[in-house]
Amino acid sequence: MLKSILEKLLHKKIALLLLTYYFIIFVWWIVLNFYLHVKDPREPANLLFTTYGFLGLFGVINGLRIAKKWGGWDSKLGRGLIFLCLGLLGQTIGLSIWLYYNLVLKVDVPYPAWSDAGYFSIIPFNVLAMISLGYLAGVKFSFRSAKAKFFALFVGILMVSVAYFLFLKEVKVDFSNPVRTFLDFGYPLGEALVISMAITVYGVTTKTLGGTFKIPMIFTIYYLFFVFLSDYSFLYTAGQGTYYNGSWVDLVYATENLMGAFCFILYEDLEVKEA
Amino acid sequence: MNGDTKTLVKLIISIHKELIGPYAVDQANKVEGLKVSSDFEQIEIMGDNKEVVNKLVKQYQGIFGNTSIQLCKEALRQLLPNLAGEQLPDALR
Repeated sequence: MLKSILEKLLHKKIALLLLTYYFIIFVWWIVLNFYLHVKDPREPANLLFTTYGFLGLFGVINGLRIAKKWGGWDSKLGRGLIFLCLGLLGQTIGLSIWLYYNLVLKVDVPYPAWSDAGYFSIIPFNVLAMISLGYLAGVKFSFRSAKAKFFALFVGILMVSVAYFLFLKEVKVDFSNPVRTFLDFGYPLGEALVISMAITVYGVTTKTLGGTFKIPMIFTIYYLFFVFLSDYSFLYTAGQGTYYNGSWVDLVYATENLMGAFCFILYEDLEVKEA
Repeated sequence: MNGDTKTLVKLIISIHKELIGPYAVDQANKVEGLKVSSDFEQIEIMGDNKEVVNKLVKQYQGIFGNTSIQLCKEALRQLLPNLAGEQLPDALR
């Protein structure tokens, strides 16, 4: 499967260009961490690394173009792609506001902040994307079996348990700060919901998911796994007090942005010449 | 070409138009022996009706795999329950 995905992507000049840009960012990340040892988020040296947001922004613009090709809002595929775009856009906006605090106002980002509006929006948009794309993968038919329902329940319980043991058991409800409390519960549970949906779609649609749609759908699931990984990595290291701008967590975010951009490229060519 | 075949072709294309928008008609027009106007008003089948419908189903199956077949079967059960078995293409039996 990975070989098929790479074959499809590396035939596209734009994918090679994005990969080159990511490579430059990766090299700069190595320089930042192992040569310059920059940990202050206000350092301008961080700016080049955080331009990984342009990968996501390109993904959004290209994704909206491809969504339009497939019927835009009027089709299930178009809607699914639009929701994926909106999630990635939310994250790009979150990053921009985060950088504004660090590099322009030169202060640490408060919590909660407007950047959270952007970052959090990826959760509901990815849920909506999975509903549309999951339909195209055949979840509706797969879910007729008790085995599929049990699998979904098992995955859901597992992911909520992970969220609880990693984060929620330390969270206290604070009615004096409802937004913070909402985000404290919302981030880990929301990401658990999205990844549960992705794993479930992957697990139950083996008999229905097929055709030229299969590769981009599988890649979407890989992308959503990276979204989960980046957000959980940030939540964990921020909670431990070990997160800093330009850390390995931001490299995961950069990889996630690249995968988001690749996702839409894979949805571009679904046509079948002639059966 | 009888009315049932035309109805069946329209139904199959409509199902996929909900999935991929107007490209569903483009994909239908790639099927050998089938010509469909964008508003579905003009449908021409040249050759064996059942074979052309079978190819149409397989064209969409090429994009969405078994999901496409299941969606077509479900729609047939609901909207064309009286369609005789011999009129159905092999892929939808």
